[in-house]
Amino acid sequence: MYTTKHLQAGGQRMRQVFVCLTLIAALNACSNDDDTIPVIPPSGGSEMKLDGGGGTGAPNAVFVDLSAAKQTSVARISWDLGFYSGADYRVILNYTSSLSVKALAKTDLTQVSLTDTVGISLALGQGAGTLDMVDDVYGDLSKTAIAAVSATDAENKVYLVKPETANAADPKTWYKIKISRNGNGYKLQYAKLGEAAIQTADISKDGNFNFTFYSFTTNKVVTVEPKKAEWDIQWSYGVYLTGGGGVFLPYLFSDFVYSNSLAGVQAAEATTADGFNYDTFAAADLSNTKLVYSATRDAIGSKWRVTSGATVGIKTDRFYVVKDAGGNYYKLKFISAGIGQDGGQRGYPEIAYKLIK
Amino acid sequence: MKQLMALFFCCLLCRINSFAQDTTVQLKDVVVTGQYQAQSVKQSVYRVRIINSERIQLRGATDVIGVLSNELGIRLSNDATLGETDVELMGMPGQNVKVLLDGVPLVDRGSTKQSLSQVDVNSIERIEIVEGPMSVVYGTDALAGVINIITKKRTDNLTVTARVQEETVGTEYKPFHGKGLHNKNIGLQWGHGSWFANGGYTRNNFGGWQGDYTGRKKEWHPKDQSFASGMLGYGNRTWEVWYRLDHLHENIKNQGDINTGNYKATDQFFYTNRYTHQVQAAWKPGERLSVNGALSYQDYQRKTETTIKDFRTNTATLSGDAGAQDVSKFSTFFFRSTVQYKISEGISLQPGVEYKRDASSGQRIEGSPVISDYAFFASAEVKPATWLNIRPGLRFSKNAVYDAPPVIPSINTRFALRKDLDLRLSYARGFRAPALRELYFYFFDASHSIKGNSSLKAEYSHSVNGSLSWQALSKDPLHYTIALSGFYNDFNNLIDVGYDAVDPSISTYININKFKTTGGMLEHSLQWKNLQATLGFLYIGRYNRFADDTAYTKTGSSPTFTWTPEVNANIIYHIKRIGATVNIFYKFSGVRPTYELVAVNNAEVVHLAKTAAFHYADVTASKRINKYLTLNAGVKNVLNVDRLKSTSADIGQAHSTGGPVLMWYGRSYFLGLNFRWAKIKN
Repeated sequence: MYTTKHLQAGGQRMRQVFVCLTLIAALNACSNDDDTIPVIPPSGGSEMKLDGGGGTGAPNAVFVDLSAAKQTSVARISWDLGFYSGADYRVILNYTSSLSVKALAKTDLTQVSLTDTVGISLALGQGAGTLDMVDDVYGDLSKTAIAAVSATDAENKVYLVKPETANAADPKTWYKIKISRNGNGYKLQYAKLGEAAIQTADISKDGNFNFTFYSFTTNKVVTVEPKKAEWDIQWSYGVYLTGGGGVFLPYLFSDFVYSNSLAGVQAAEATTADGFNYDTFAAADLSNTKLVYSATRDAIGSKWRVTSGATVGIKTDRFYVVKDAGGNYYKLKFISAGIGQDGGQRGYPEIAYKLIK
Repeated sequence: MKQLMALFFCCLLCRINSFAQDTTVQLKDVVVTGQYQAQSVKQSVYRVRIINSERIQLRGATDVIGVLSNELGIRLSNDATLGETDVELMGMPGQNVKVLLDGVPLVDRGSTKQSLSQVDVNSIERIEIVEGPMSVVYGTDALAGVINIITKKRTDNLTVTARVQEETVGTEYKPFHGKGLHNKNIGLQWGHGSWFANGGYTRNNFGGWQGDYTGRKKEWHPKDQSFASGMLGYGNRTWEVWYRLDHLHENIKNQGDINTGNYKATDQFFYTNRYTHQVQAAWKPGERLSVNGALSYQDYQRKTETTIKDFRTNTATLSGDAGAQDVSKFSTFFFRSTVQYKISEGISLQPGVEYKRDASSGQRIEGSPVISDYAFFASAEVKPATWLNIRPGLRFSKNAVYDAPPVIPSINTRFALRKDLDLRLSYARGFRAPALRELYFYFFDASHSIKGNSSLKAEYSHSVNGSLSWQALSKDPLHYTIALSGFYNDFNNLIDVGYDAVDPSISTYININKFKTTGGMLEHSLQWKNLQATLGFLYIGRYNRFADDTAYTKTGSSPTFTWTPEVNANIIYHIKRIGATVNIFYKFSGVRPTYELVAVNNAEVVHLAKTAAFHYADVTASKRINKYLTLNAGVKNVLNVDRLKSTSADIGQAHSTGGPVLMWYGRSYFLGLNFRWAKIKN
């Protein structure tokens, strides 16, 4: 008799428990998305999404002219060499790619064959290569990897060139080149190693541009940079350096920002630590001595973002003041780059900028 | 009633005899891991640690990680980016620990053991931990040891269990869903004649922990797990067979903070689906012979989804970035069978075969590789005298892809020096086969050139273990046991990332590193009336890889080993009069020193980095409310640990470079209700 009673009581309690459980299950069924939509203020100034083509090694390099609010996107490996248009006879390497060079002792292109590649490595990046295989990463034209082109042609050496698309382990895909002066311009001779036919091209200087660009792929002069007064900064995947402890190696960076240092563009970094604020930054702040302008090509460089470690993303505590060749001052900040969780897409960075003075 | 009890025990005993290696029994202190048949802890040639379901319940654990957290020699490491936890055993990372579910190896993606946190804690009968290599029986990965999770099998009555537990995550909590930790379970066990079945469903909802982050971002990612399991078996005196299916669905959410530049946020979701099928059988035609078999198929899928949420339009779109959307698939087919044959009272043999087929695919795996492993293993148990037990063993492996060690030996011995004094000595080789990821990894982009290496060899170890257990007092009401043990492990051919010899611009996996661990442990266990208490000390030495390396400048001494002490204590006190228990679970982990390379004054210098010591403690209590209900409550992480200070530049965890090590999320509180109803037999 007692047992039955007890069982009944137990059954009642059980029912209570099941009711409880059902209630909980019902509560769970209500999904709750905690996302509240923030108050979005109107934006001041201009915004631009750069057409890098996507990815960490984005296919395009993008030139930006802040005063014209214009971007020019070009395939970053569409050229191999750039011939300086100024007074000096200098040739630059495609710094928006992993193109690398090494000088040979020989000066006669016809005397260079695959046997000259023995013991030479042109691998670049990921710990491979040395800084003498690329141009000065700060943009100093007096320190190019290819020596100044001499008026005495016997002094102009033959160089081995490995474009990004060539295979570091297969010298047959590399080029041999020799550059000479040709009146007020240049003469370029080149051939793929292992191919007999030597190509020749005459390249002239055009004072409206920093460089005249040449491609081994199309065997032609190609258009790359806008006129030198018509761009301020360039965004691209490209060569810079890495290292520490006094040892530096060439390293390829995604989202590198080069300034048009040859045309006189300068940039300064403004941080919140120094009391600067992008939204309130105005002409009066330009005289702040904490703004230090840099005239080198890497003035902005990769300083604006972090790509590894715990705090990946755009550094939101800083922006840049860009002084263009015409003496205009702009404030410039990076909004998204698809790094970390910034809501952007890698290879399509977004910038915001505003004319200050 | 007496007759019934007698019958019940009879049944139990029969089951002990008929169940062997991978099936289970319900007597306390009986183990199966590595045994010919279910064996008492005392008789086992291996030293086996047991964590039973009672302990799991008393701790208020919601996952296996929470159960293991205060065990000696177990250290957890969290990958904050992926929201996953790896376990380290006796100074070795998870890739050297074998995780088994009823003796069947659980599949994992790569080197970390996600599987441990993807097992339903409510379905566990007990966990058996064996330290030291068991590669002869269990094959690859069983170098540091084995964690064997034994599931609940059968009751003789219909039993219904349910559990609801609410827990805070640090100070964050919201009832039943969202912030906090919410665990719910319902289970059913049934047995009738020769048939038995069970099933269960568990929901584990973890709301994450904000920590130092702001806005939508959280240091611990929210995680939602649902488990469903079912089992059906048939068994009589001579044979038994059962099928079990475990399903897991897991959703880990990594929300980005709103970018106030574009009012967008990048969110990552990791969806995991795991199906673990297994069929196990045991046949015991006579006293001398028994046969066991286990067959398993596992399907493990992990989907990565990345979305960009635009708060201006309140829409979300899939991200087009490389690696943003991916499905990684792993499947494993596994078969193991052993025969136990008793030649005479003094000699038993256990030959066995094992076959394993692993297949995988995904964005960062080259192709759809398949690896098949074949192994034959045999061991003998020789008892020349009642006080002596010697078990030599050998394993022969064959693998089509990598260079498997052809023969792995082991010898385990147990000397019953006195009735209350056992000495165990063993030597064993362990090995770890290269993981699919190490063989076939493929990741090339602008800043990565990493490729797997299909010519990798297996890692292997030499291992010596010894222990002395003394049941110093065993007269009611006082029982006291003390055990002293030591180990030395020497690992070779460890796989690490290095440069490809043919093309130095590519990183790949190579057999390059060495490692050693050594240590000693002293454990006490006391039972006095209603009090159970344990106290343990462990001192682990981990190899300093720069000790014998003259290539680097050393600023200070550079010894062979760096040492870390550990202390743990458990106190369980039963207040029988009111059906309550009060429990304390405590562990101290000492300062962990590691030697690493840092650049100082233009040179690479060996530097001693230290991760801070920490105390971890849970205080819990449980009380029976009535015949069916038990209330559980407690405080976890009483000493409020979250981050550990570290002077390291590289804390050795994926996606992390230096700074404090995220260990926990601070003090939390839980309250749970356990329900159990069993049909009373007429």
